[in-house]
Amino acid sequence: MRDIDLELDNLEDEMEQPLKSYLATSPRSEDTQKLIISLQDSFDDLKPSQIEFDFDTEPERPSLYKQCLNQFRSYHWAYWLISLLIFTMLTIISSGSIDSESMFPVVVPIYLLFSVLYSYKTWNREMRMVESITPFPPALLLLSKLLVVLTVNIGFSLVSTIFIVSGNPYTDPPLFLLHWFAPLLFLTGLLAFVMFHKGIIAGFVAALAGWAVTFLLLPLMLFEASGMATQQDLLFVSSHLLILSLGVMMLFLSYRKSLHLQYM
Amino acid sequence: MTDEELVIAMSRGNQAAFEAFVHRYHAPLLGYLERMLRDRKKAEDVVQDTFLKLINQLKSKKIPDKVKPWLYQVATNQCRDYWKSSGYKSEKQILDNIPDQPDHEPSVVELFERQEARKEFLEKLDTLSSTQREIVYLRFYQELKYQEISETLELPLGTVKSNLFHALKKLKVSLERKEEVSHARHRS
Repeated sequence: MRDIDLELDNLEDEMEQPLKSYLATSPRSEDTQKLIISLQDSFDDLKPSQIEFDFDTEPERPSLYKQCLNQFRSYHWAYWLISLLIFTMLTIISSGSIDSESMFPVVVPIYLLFSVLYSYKTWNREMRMVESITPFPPALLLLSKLLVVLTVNIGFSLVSTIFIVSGNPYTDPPLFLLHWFAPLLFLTGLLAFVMFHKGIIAGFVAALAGWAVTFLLLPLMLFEASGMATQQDLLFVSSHLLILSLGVMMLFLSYRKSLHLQYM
Repeated sequence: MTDEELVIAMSRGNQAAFEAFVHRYHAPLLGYLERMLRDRKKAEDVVQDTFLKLINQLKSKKIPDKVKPWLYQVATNQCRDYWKSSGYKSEKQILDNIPDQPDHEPSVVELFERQEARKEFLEKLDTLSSTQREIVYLRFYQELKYQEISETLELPLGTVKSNLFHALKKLKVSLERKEEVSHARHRS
């Protein structure tokens, strides 16, 4: 049976090109409009009578949870597979490294930005047309995509952390956790916040700049400011707690803004 | 939003869902029917009837479980009804009796070649049985999965696969034969 399936797959590949040459005309948008008008009378019968007041048909209040769930379902299996492969690779590399804290926290936020870019296709006009029928503001949909990506990254990173920490006695679990968790939340918050105020491109530029500040400028500043090893740890924890709080605050502000923002 | 979600919203009278659904399926259905019927005007009529049947289905509170196969099933059944109708038979008889028109613009070589290639391709498709043709159209032009084709045409999955396999083999052989003939012509 498997041989026949394989042969059928090959045949389909071979015949795809000749068959694709048989084109059919595509309707213009005016044709679709005409079709809608011709169907309208019949469709109007489905609409609830104006005399009856059905309070159940009140538009639903925007719900971030429901949107996140919907967006979560819309991700292609390829995305999950690639994410799994990347985190497996990162875990293997970081588990074997003495300086495991250098690689993992740097790559995780960058992967988040790429994951957000991957979902860019769902911001196109066609998707917006379909999604515009939902009672949710488009910006809330966008924020829900960001939160889905963030949750997925946190999930994968947590599993990786367990493996890395258990296999490396030199790694301090709470510090390691804070090292990737705080920048991840900070960059997501920064991306959402700038995006909702200044647009998509500005959001990505700010997030990349934020990444550079977090991993290049911040370590340098901590090194300059600290004299003793104990002080170094304290400064590291307090600076990371600060960017973590900033990230959470910016995410919350973005959520509030997204409830009212109709266009971006 | 999935097809099913849109249709549920339509059944509650949601205008935006109705328009989004028509936008989503107008082009694919028209393409399928145009290939099946080889008549754009008739295809447009059948597309409209298909959407009307869906609306009527929703009026009677029967929401299809799987909307896509349901739509293609309705469209396919309408084509079959049309082919069986006396109107189609008499139209076909008239068309068959009209002699082929000579090309009045032989200088438009490209157009002519395109028409010839299309004609040849249609001839090849005509060698398939109607079921095989339906399966090829649904698989290649509508990109339906095997399971969806099986639900659309109400055929077992194995039958869908074997029909598609034989149809493609047949098309491949006739394509290869055509290439051999054209090579032979070039040589001579």
